[in-house]
This record gives sequence, structure tokens and C-alpha cells, in this order.
Amino acid sequence: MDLLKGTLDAMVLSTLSAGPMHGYAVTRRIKDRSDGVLEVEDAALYQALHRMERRGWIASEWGLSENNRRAKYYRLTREGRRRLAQELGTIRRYTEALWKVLEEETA
Amino acid sequence: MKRLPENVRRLLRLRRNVDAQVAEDVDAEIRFHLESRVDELVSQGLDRPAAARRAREEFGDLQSARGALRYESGRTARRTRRKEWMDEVKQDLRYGWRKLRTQPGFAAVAILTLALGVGANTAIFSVVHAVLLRPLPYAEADRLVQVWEVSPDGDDHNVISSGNYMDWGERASSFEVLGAYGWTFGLGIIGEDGEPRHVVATSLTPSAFRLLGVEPLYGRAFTVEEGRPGGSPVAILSHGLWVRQFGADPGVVGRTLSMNETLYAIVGVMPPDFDFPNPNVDLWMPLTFGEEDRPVRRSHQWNVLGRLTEGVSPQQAQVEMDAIAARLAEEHPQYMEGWGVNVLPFRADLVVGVRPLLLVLFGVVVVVLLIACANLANLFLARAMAREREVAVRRAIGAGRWRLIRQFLTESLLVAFLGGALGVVVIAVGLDALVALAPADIPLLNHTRIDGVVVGFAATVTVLATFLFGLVPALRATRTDPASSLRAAHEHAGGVRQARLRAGLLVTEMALSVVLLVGAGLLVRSFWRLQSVDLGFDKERLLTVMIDLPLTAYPNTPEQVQFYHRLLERVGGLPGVVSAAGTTQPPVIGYNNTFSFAIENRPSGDADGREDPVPLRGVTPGFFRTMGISLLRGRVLDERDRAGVPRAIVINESLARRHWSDESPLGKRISFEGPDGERWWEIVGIVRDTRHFGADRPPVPALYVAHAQKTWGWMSWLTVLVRTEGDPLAVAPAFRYALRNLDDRLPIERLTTMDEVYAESNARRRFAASLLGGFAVLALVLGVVGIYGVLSYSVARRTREIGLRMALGAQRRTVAVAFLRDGLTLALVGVVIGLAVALLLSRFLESLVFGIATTDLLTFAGVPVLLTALAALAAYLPARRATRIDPVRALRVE
Repeated sequence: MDLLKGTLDAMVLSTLSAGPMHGYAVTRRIKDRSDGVLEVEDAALYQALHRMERRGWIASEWGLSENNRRAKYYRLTREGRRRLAQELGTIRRYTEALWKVLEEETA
Repeated sequence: MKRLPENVRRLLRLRRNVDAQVAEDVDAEIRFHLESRVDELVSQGLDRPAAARRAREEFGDLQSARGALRYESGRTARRTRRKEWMDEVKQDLRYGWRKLRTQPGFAAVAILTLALGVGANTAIFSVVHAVLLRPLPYAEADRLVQVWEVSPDGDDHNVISSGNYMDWGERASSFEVLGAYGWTFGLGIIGEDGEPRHVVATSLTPSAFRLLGVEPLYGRAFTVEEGRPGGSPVAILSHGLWVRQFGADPGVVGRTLSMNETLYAIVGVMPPDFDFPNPNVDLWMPLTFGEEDRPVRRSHQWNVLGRLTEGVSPQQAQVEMDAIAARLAEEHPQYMEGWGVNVLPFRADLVVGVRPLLLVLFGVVVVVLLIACANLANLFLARAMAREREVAVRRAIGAGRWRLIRQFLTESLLVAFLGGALGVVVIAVGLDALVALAPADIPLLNHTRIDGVVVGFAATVTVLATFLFGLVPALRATRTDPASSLRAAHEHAGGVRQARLRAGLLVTEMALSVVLLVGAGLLVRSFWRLQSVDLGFDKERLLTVMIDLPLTAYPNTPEQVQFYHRLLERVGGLPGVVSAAGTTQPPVIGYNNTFSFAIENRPSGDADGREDPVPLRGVTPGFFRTMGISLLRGRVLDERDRAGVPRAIVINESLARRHWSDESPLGKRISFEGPDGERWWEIVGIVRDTRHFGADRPPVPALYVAHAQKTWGWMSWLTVLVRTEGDPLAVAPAFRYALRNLDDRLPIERLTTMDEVYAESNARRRFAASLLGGFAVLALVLGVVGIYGVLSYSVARRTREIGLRMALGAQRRTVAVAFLRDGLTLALVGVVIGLAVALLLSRFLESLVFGIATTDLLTFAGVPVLLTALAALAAYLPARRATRIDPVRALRVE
């Protein structure tokens, strides 16, 4: 299934709200949690990460991974947290409205 | 992948392109992702190659991803860098501010020094800018030229005759427009309150108005018809007159103004800063030229202004005008033979008299600023050295050298901007004072104001000064080797080099101070010389009142003589008055009418047989006595010289020397041209020369005729001179009253004292001397403070060494003498260098000195003596402090 761009951002932010992690971990978490339904192209995900870093919603830092490799870790900023709450609200309203319309039709 | 040490990475990052770093990071991130995925797939059972392929497939378009990621990261990286830099700067500023507050004395001295230096520079610069640099407020001012005639005896700023002006206008193609204007003259107007008032007017052609291209605030400029003879009398008001006399009423256009019995229609009002040809002008009237003016070639009266045609240079115009002048000389040889033309750019010609003065002043303040910077550099150097330990600690924990230098520079900038801010106050106050004190005849002076250019100059000077006094100490302070500085008993190794630097700065300061003091000394001595010059008459207690009778009411000599005779009678009888007399040409401020004459039986070598023109003055009986001019031979003019008797003339020594050097001129006759043939006058006396045109101008040959016998009816003016017992101005109200009783519509053109008149004529010198003197004193104070500072610091730093020496048996006296010698040596070296430089530069003051040579011995000897004495004094105190050092305390470990 294809994803709307806004929802990708929300997913990344939500994933990072659990704590700082490197880009690979983010991609795996998203793919795993959606039980493989949501296919996210890695390239798109990284672009989202970098875009959101530029906007100041997430911040990055170079560190060492579990197996001592150099990896770029991302974490949520305060602005990012605010943005996440906003996005979640928007998506919830959107899906609720969508359901209302769909239910009507199928009822 | 190994992680590099932080220091090296940071250093590298400074050098490398941001983009290269970003690209590397993006690649590393992608690589990590792919490797991690491959590992995971392998652990799920795939073989490596297959896993690698899968991982790559899953990733997506690698190339475009790389590009997009680099772009985003690049922007982020740049933003982060900017933010970091801003944070550092803020940190530096905070730190610097805190540091300054802990050292208020240092801060105060530094800020004040800089404020004075920058303030003085900017004030003078704004005057220089207004007078010499800023484009004139006229249309296409860079194409404006002034055109003069050149007289046969070499005066290249001779005014122009009517005929020539008209011919030039028709024949010259170098000029787009040519206009003429006359000198200012006085008019009487009756104010709204009935009081007669004197206004200053000037006449100029409508083309001149067009040339200048300034639109009137209300109304219009003159029309071409008004520039022809017979046009209706019109006038344009200046902004000042409009406000003063007409209450700034916009409806004034169309009203009439009565001047000298004629009604003028007011057709326009000019904007506030239009002050052509000088700021005193109150109104403008049209100058008319018609065919009847063309034959006028002998009498030269007009100033001519022109705008060059597009693409023509002043030199090209000069060439054309030379040819035209030659042709005119051929056409009218009896008037024009030997006459030439001089074309000069308007601005350059206008300011040629003041340019040397202004440039000297500007040079002086630059020197003062340099001295101030040298002092500041020494101050900052000392301070930086005192912070060695702090620097060492910071470097030991990893601060980069450039980072520390930036810190020091930021502190310097902080001082600089605080100093600059205070300097603005100095400028504002100083500028007002400067313009008020300056001689009123500096052209364009009233255009001085603080505009964008001036502010930009102040800012630039501040920043430059900061680098001058901030960079070197910053470099020095951070050069120290961190390890050795931290050692407890350390005496800094760079001591010798640093001491040499400070000595060098001090020597430079001394030299510069000497240069300024010599210059100031020359100017001050010139000014004193001027004060004591023998003028040839007594200028004290002499009330001077300029009066001009309107020709409509007093058309000819008899009426004028009668009026003035009555006036002088009354004034002579006033209490406090010793004597009163009149002259048509008072010293300095009089109209300089010159006449050429012929000597009986001795035609001159000139084409027309007449002598070169000399000033001629009509004087009333008692004039020479009232002025205090001594008679050398013969007699002075008195009551017997009146209308109807043979005309008598008195000459001064210069004229006698020039024309009758080996015989007595008494009894000889000279003649002036009149409408009905030559009129003869007999020389009856010779009087002493006077310095008529100013204390610094040599006497000029001149003639005196009895006012009652003057044959020029148009010479209706007279300046009354009243010798008083006490203060001349105390008699002024009585004088006015006496005048009103005789004619209550007559304004006084000017009322002052002769003392004031000569003071005004010396104004430029006084201005130069006081400014230069003030700056020189400032430089001297800075220099002396500098010596004191350096030596004090030296004593403080070498306390242990001195203590050691004394403990080992050195006398206190010896120690003190050593310091004194140090200080004096520095001063003397500086003085010698300064004298040499002063000797080279003093020739630039040539035009400003008077009565002394530019290599005046007294000045050149006096200044070093003064400076050395002061230097010795400044060195004495620290030296004495050195003797008070207690060896025991000094040797204790600090």
C-alpha cells in the first residue's frame, strides 16, 4: 500500500518518541510494527529523516552502534514532539472522518 | 571506522568544505544501513551476495537518494555551523563584558581615548566631506565651471565686463548654458513693523538660475524677459528672509516689496539650503543684459558661471575660450589687449583657499587617532600579558588559538563600539562647536551635517582602530607556550620581544606628538605675530558703521555730502566720542573700488597711458586724525577741501614709492577720467601705509580724496568711524538715534568695531591655531600618559628583578636612575625622529604661517625641550616607585 507523505513523517516521529535510535533501527521498527503491511522504501525513509532534521524536528549525533560501528543516531526535539502531537491529531481526525463516510456507504 | 580525536576533527572541519564532510557522512550512513541489513539477512539464512543484492533492492534508488540526502544534510550542517558561531560570539561578548566590568579603570581610559580619537576624526571629516567632497546641490554640479578674465598684470580671477560676457555667450560652444551674477549689495527694505532693515541682495541672470537648477519652493525662477533691460522689477526671496520678514506665509508670491523707493513683485521663494553665492544672501534680482551693454568693456563687474556641454572638459573649454579672448583682443585692442580667460571647475575654485587648511586638520586628527591607538595597543598588550595564565589554562584544555584570538578581538570590538557610541556624542557636540568657531567665510561650511557617509566613516574608523590596537596584543597573548606559562615561577619568555614592541609604540607616539606640537607651535606663533603687527593706524575703540544712501533720495554728491556732514556733526558731539569721520572704503570690509589714473606729463607704458588701478577712498575732514594715520609730508585733507576749490588728493607711501621714488610727489597732478574729459587733482600730502586688507596682507598703494570733492555720484555709501573714550558699542544706541533723526528710513548696513573687523579677518588663522593647538595638547597628554603607563607596567613586572638587585647591594638611586634613563631614552629617540619628520612636513603649512619661517628655530627648539621635560616628569613617578620596593617583599614567592 502506498503511503501519504505526511504519515511517513508521523511514523518516524512516533518511532523516535520511544528513544534515540539510528536510521536502520527506525526502518526496521516501522516495517516490523506494521507487520509488513506498510512497505517503506528505505530511501524515502532516510529522506524523511534528513528533511525533518533540517526542519529541526529531530536532531542527530554520531555514535557507536551495538557492534561498534559508526552510526548516526536520531532523537526527537521539543519542536518534534509538538509536531508529532499535531500530526497524530490530524491523522486521527482524518481517519475518523474517512470511516464515517465509508461506513455510511457500506451500511 | 575509527573515531578521530575531537581537536583534530574540529581543526579539519575548519579547513574542509562543508559539502565534503556532508557527503562523507551521508555515504557512511547509507553504508551502515546496508551492512546492518546484510548482516540481518545473512543471519536469516541468505548468503552474502544474495543478501547484498536484496538489501540494495530494498533500499531503492541509491543515486538519487544520495543526492537528496546530501542536499538536506548540507542545509542542516550550514545552519548548525551558523548557530554555533553565533553562540560563540555571544559567549565572547558576555565574557568580554564581564571582564571589562572587573576592570573599570582600564575600560574607562580605553573607551574615552577611543571616543576622543574617533569623535575628533569624524567631526573634522564631516567638515571635509561637506566642503571638499560631497557633490554640490546644483544640477549636474560636476559640469559647473567658473569663468574668469585674466588681467594683463596677471590677476587670473578678474571679474568680467558686460560686453565680453555677452560675446562669450554667443561665441562659445563649450558651454551649454552661461550665466552671470554680481557681488552682493545692500538694500534697505521697510519691514512690516515699519523698521528700516538692511538686506543683502545679489543680481543674477535667468540663465544663471537655470544653471543651478534648483526649483523654488514657491513660485518660479526668473523668465527670459526679466533678464532683458526694461523688464518689470521682480525679486525672489531666500528661505531665511521669507521666514524672518514674511512669517513663512505661502501666499507671499505675488505680493510686492518696497526697496529703495521701488516696488518689486515677489515671484518666488527658494528652499532653505539654497545659498548661492553665499549664505548671507536674502534675495535675488534679475541681472539684465541688452545691446546697450555690449560696448561696455573697460569696466569689469560680473562673475560668470557656466555648464560645460556634454563631453567637453574644462581644458577643452579653456582652449576655446583662449581663442575667443584672442579674437576679442583683436576686435577691441584698446580695452582687451593683454586680457585672457581662465576656466576653472566650480567646486575646486570655490574651495581652493581652504583646502590646505582642511587637509592639514584632517591629517592632524588622523595622527591623533594613531597616537590614541598606540596607547590603546600598549594598554591592551599589558592587559593581555596579565592574562597569560588564563590563556594558558584555556589552551591546555583545548581551546584553539584562533578561537582565543577571536575572543580578544571581540573584547577589543566591545571597547571600540562603546568608544564609538560615546564618540557619537563627542561628534555631535564637537561639530556644533566646530561650525560655530570656524571662520564664517569657509564656503559650504553651513552644509556640514551628519549623514550616512559620516556615520559610515565613523564605523569604518572604529573597526580599523580595533584591528590596529586589538590584533597585535591578541596575537602576542595567544602565542605563549601553554606548558611553560603554567609553571609557577614563570617570567614570560616573550618579554624581550614584547618590551621592544611597546618601546616601539612609545617612540612612535612621541614622534607623532612632536610633529603635531611643532605644527601647532608654528600656527600659534603666526597668530601671535599677527596680533602684534603694526596696522598703520589705531584700531582700538573705533566704532565702525556702514551706511548706504539710496540714490533715489540722494542722487548726487552734494546731497550725500550734506547728509553725512550733518550726521558727523551730531555724532561728533555725542558724549564719550573723541572724534568722528567717514570713509568710502573702510579697512577689510569696504568695497574695493579701484581707479586707474594718469600722471601729468608722464604717460605710463600701457596702451591707454594710464596707471594700473589702485584703491581710492573718499574721506571726510578729520579722517586721518580719527584713524590715527600719521602724516609723513605735506598736509592732510580738511574742511577747506570742498566743492568748487581745486581738488586735492593725498597718497600713501607705497604709491609715492611706486611712482615718485626719486622726487617729491607734492604738487604733482594726476587725473581721472570723467564724463566731460580728464579731471585733475593735486597731490598735497603723503601718509603712512596701512594694512588695509588684513593684518597679514602687505600694504597696497592707495589714494585719498576729500569726500566733498568726490566726482562719482554713484558712490553713495560711507562708513562712519567713531573714536570713543570707552567701549565703542556703548555709543551705538546714541548713534542710531542720531541717524534716525536725520532719516528714519535709512537702515544701517553693518555696525561693529574695528577691533572686531580685524579679528574676523584673522579668524581663519585663529581657527587653525586653536584646533591644531588643541589636538597637539591632546596628543601630548596621550603621549605622556603613555610613557607613564609603560614605565609603571615595567616597574610592576620587574619587581622581583629589582628586589633581587637591591638585595644584592644596588643602591636605590641607581635603580631609579635606570628607569628614568629608560624613559628618557625612549622619549629622546621619539623626539629626534619627530623633529626630522616635522622638518619634512612643515612646508605644507607654508600658506598658513605668518611672520616666521616654516623652520622657525624657536618652535623647533622649544618643542623638544617641552616634551623631554614632560617625559622626565612622567618617568619620575614610576622611577620613584621603583626605589620604594621592599626587597624582602619582592623576593617572596608570589
